[in-house]
Amino acid sequence: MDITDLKAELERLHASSFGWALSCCRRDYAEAEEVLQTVYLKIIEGKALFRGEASFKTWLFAVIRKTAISQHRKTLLRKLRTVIGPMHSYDASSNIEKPDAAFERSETQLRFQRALETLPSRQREVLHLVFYEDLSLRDAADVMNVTIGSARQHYQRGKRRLRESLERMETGYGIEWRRKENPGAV
Amino acid sequence: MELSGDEKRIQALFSELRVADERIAPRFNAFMNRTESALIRAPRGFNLSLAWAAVLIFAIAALAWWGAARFLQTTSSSVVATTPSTANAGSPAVVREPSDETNPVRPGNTGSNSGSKFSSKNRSQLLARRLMARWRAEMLAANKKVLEDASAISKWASPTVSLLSSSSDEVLTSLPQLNQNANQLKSFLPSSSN
Repeated sequence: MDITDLKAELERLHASSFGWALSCCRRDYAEAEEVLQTVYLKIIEGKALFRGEASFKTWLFAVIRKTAISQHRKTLLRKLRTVIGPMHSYDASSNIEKPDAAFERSETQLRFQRALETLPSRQREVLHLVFYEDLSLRDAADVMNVTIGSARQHYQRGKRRLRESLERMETGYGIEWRRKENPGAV
Repeated sequence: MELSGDEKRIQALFSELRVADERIAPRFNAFMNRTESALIRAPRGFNLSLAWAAVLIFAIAALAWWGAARFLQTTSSSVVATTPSTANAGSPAVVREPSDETNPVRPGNTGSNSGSKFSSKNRSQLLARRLMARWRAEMLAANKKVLEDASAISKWASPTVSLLSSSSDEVLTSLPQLNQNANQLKSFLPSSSN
């Protein structure tokens, strides 16, 4: 695959990639941008090479996930250094959402995101890949570098936990989670 | 995949999240331009970090080399200091050490065996030889002590031996000879005048 094809594929999957990067970076906009930029750099430089063993989307998402993990590790080290020696200035704005990035979130959406944050990372990832990216469980397992059995377990547990968490939150707001008349309603 | 009620609800929430994310996602072209400009700047930072890593590795290697050389120097000097005193013990069981033990090979002063060729195998062999030499020196010192003790026992004399000696010891321990003259014999005989 030459560079033009690569760029075309990246452009096609750009929005999904950014959403996945956001999920991998715990909804940190700045960190997600940095991760995605690093991933594009890796691909353009040829450090991350697509060999066609899986679909391009699966491969790209796996690269994003790995890069996000290493980026998170680096960020933690940077924070640790800031705690030890105050000479290095820490960019505190990285965790603050950009004003133009802030969108109107409904109460339900906010509760949903809070509930997602309470999930373990594997469960959050598999739910994101299946529901947000419309990937199959097999592809999700490939992206997460786990077996399909493990991915299925994370999926089931994640769903149950998310539902319980949302129920708990919505009970506090006096909203019934299980709407029997219209189960598909948001 | 057949979705149940809960799954539909979750999917709807994720769909809403997706729409919101697409709204805030950076534009691809601008993003790619920034990435490519970062690509142009990237080699400088990479080289700098590589240089730092190289300096760090060199410093650690130099420190390790210096430490090893110093350790070898101290062990060889201690072996050389102990060996001559044990070699002069005069015991028949003296074992001469090989010449390279008393004149050890050091990373700095070798002729054919230069510092770069001073492998870890040679170093471990040298260390083993030094340990053997030290063990031999200790054995020789122990043998010398045993010999000294034995000679001291053979020369031992009682402290009261002087009380047993007197002026008439010669009379008691010697006999008159046949060809001695009479005057000399008289000295052995009791006085006949009584």
